Amino acid sequence: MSTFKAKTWAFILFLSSTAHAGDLIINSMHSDPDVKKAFAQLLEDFKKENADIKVVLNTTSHEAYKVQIRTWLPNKAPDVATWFAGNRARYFIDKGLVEPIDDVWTGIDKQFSDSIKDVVTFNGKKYLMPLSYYNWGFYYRKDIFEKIGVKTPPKTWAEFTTIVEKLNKASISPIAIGIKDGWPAAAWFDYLNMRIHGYKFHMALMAGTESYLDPKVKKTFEVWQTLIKSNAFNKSAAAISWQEASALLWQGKAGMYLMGNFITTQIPKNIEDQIGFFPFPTLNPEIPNAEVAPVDVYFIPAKAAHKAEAKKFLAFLAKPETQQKFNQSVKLMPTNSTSITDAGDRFLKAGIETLRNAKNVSQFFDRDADPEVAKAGMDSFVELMARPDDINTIAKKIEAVRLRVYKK
Amino acid sequence: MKLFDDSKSPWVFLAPSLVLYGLYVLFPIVFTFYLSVTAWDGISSFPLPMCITSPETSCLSNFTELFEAELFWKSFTNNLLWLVFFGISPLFGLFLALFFHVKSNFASPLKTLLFMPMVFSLIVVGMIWSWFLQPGFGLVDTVLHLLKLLPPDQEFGLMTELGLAPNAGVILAAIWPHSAYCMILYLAGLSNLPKNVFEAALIDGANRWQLLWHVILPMLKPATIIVVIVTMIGALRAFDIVAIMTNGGPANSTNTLALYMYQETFVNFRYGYGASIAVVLFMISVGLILAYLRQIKKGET
Repeated sequence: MSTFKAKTWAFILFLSSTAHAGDLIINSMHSDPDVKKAFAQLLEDFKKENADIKVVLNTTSHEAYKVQIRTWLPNKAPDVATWFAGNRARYFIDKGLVEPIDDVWTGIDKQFSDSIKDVVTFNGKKYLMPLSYYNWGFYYRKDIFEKIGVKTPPKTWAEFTTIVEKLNKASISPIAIGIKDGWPAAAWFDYLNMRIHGYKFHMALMAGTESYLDPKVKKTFEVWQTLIKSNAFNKSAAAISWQEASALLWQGKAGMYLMGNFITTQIPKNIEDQIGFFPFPTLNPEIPNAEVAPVDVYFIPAKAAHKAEAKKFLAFLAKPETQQKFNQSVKLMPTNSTSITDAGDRFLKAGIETLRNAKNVSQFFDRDADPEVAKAGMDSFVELMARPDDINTIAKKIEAVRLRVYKK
Repeated sequence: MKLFDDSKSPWVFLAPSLVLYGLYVLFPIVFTFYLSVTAWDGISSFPLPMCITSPETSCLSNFTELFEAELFWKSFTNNLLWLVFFGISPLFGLFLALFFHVKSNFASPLKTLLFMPMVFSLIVVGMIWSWFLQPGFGLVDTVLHLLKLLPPDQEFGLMTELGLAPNAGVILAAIWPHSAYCMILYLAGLSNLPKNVFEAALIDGANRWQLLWHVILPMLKPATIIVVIVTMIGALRAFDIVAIMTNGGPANSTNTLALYMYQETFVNFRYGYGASIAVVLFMISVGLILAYLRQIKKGET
């Protein structure tokens, strides 16, 4: 299937080489039906304002896109492409493959929060246009919390661990997790490390300038290890997927679940009212809260043929109305803070509040870190959760990969 | 009038398939060998060998790194496990084929049932087995709980272990369809055997074991060669079932060389290093198969 797509794509590229001025070619990885539909609507609205621009959209599946972008970006690039914010984007920016778009940002930058502007700015220039993001945090069973006598969700780590204890006493797995794929474990590392040592240290670690042998990282692992050893997580986590772990929450076998807001679209109808949300508790009161909130962005490749049209499109994406309409239909949050968000969805509302209180947003471990380090990291986190004895060996494994990657 | 003279015509007829073979088989092999001495990341301009771009590095440094990598040896060990245990499936296949050959009239619905996994895509097989082995609510857990072999508050932890254990689940899943495949190959072999030889052997007073050991098995040798070679290749290129059941996890416990190659190339984007794994895997496969064929030839003389 993917080779077929690749061929189709190559064919489109071939056609595009004869495209006229006034065309706009967009490559997208958002192949999910809902998002695809909402994006098609967005393009319709764009065409209404820009009847002279002919838009061509190529949508590829997520995984294939990640591989193929490396082929077309340096060679025959489209005019606009979707990508992730943060270090994943820095990789292409450092290679000179992305066009700076400070001119598009002039006049509108006050409409975006500092934490958003931070993840689209590299070496003082803005390269990316954010469209949506979503928050992470705990989704929990209100009925179970009530049963063990917990009235309000925890704000501090002490309150949090008390709840873990109480749930264990009631023979309910305190926290659901499924790490057949490593990334749900990485969310724990992100949050613990940011809550204990702050955003700045975490991002330096992600960018490869801090060591995994640093005592600070060890401290993060120790807090995590203590939690694992207190039976805070469900059994057999290493063999189940994140969806199977969410089933534990729906069935009332687990009390809470650290996940992205996308999980709320999967809550079964009959327990919808029983699910609540709370942000990751504070561990160190001196550290301002940073949240994990992956931002989806659009950028103009340096080799794009129709940059003027592409800039018009990015300016259109930035508009509060555009962001509001698109994100409302896909249950994501607009990055433009002047967009009015419908408070109809209580999870979105809670998420927006959480992010409003956040000083910074990180992009998630596997987007912030170099892909190789991220893979070694996630393998090691799975190892830690399955066998929480030997923190040093685990740290050394990640460090070995970091040293190799960043000595280049 | 002739378009080509006779000496040329075979080449003319072969040309289309030779072109395709060259393009899709020979060229990728040669290209992979070339990539294995580069440090290509898939995005920079076309790579020159490492020792040319930076004279202080050896052109073989991908390979030195590979042989020092813990993950390489882990994957290699797992492939060895595959060779040994996946290698049992020809025995199952032979047993089933003999059974159905003898009882062919009664057994055809059963034969169809046993042949079924062979028709499934390996992805489906992998999904089915990961549901069987699902800790907590899978079939294996449910049965063990029912038979009281496992206390109700415990889960069968085969697939959550770090180490060699979870390979058992994955290889078991792979044996299921592969035994059916071996059965079909042996059944075809059996149906080609001349009946009068069996009769002659029985008249000469051979018992059934002697018939099997001295008559049937030697005559099945061509089928056996094919079966053993497909099994070896299957064990060495183990990828799809592993990818779907565990994706190499937990923490790389079930990784195989083919999956490791895929991850390095398309997850970590180290095309050069990935190619060096491909080269090593290629060498191992060719070496093993040549050694086997040589052994066979020796037996014949």
